[in-house]
Amino acid sequence: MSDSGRETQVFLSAIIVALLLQLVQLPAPLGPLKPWFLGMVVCYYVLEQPRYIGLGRAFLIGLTADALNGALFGEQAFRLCILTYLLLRFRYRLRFFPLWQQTALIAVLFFNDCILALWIRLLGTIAQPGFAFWLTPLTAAFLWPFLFVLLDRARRWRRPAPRL
Amino acid sequence: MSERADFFNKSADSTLALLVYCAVAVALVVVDRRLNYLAQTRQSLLDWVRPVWQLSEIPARLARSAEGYFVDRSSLLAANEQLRAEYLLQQQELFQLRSQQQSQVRLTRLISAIEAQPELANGVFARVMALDFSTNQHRLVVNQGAKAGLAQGSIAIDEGGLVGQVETLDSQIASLILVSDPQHRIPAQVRAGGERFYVSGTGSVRTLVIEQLALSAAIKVGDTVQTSGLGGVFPEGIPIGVVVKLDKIAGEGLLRAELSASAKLGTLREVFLMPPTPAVGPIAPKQPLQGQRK
Repeated sequence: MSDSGRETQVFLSAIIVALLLQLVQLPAPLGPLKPWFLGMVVCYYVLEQPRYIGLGRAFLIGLTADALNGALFGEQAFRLCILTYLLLRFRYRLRFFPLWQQTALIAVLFFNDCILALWIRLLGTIAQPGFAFWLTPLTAAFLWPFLFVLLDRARRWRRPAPRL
Repeated sequence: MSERADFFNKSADSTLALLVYCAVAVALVVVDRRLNYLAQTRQSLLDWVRPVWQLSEIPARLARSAEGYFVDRSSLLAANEQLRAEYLLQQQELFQLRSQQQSQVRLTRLISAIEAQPELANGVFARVMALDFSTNQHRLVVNQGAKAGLAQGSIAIDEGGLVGQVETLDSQIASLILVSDPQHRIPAQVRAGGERFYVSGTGSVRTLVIEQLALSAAIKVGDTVQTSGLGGVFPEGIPIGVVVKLDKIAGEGLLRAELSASAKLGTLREVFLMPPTPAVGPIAPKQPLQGQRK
């Protein structure tokens, strides 16, 4: 199998796993702290492999997620578009940040995303999230390095060493 | 370097695309929620999506079943404690239920005993309010009085047999003297042979006694003793007790019979009271307790 075929597989499975993780119920104390896994995976791909994700795909993935969640059509599509746009905009700087700075920026981006989510939920008149919702950027930032390394490993798994 | 230049050229386009996508997304949200145009689509989508939800529930279900194996001791103890409390509560409810059931059974028996004797139809049920089983007097207070048509000399029965008669009463309550009262004498007879005598109480709720029977009296262990109808207070035929023991009184040519009371005097909850029988004629109103005191 070609490298790009493998990459596509990894990309698709990462997106599918993220979509499923959105639906998984975590045990009570952790439930509200669950970060937006889909956003994190999209972030990774925008940063590391932007040929997989543009605004259009971000929109489609978001729509799929909305359909799966059954909550509010367009909510995650909207959020993913803005996230993707911002990341594309600052991609070149972010990529060369050390991981910890990247992590801090991810926290900021996801905090921004929380505000957007709040706004669009207001627009869609659905229930406002509780306080723990504002802590999800922190959990996202906490998990970011792990996700980053995990996806890196998955992409490079059993692949010949890159020729630089 | 070329990639960088490329990006900056594309950035204006991408801003435009962002605006378009965001507009579409916002429009979707508004159409979906504010205008409710997508309800149908959402419904059919949910049908498609449901299997995915079930898939996503698997970890939670696994975790729940795993919880059964790995629970810490304190939560087990707490659960145990709670279950025990619930158990006690339910046990208590069960007891209450059983006692209600028993009282229902008693009432049913009482009713069927009364239905068997149509002449008892104008009586009333009464609940036992107080009991006095001291050694020299056996009294019972019930929650019906003159208002319910009772009078001095009204007799009380339960499903087994004779309980006693009304001694004093006011409009609301009545006090009964029981057959087991040591001072109470009831004109009685053997159901089978018709041999007549008086039955008196002994001060024990189970045991009644017939003193001073002639040796030749036609009575044997196992005979049912009933009211004789003499004396005018008790109608004939109400069971009083069953002979359980016959003793010869030493030095005298007399027998003493012990009866086991037919009425369950020790466990009375409700009794059936009837006015004194008018059939008895003029004796009853004049001397209602005649022949009942030793």
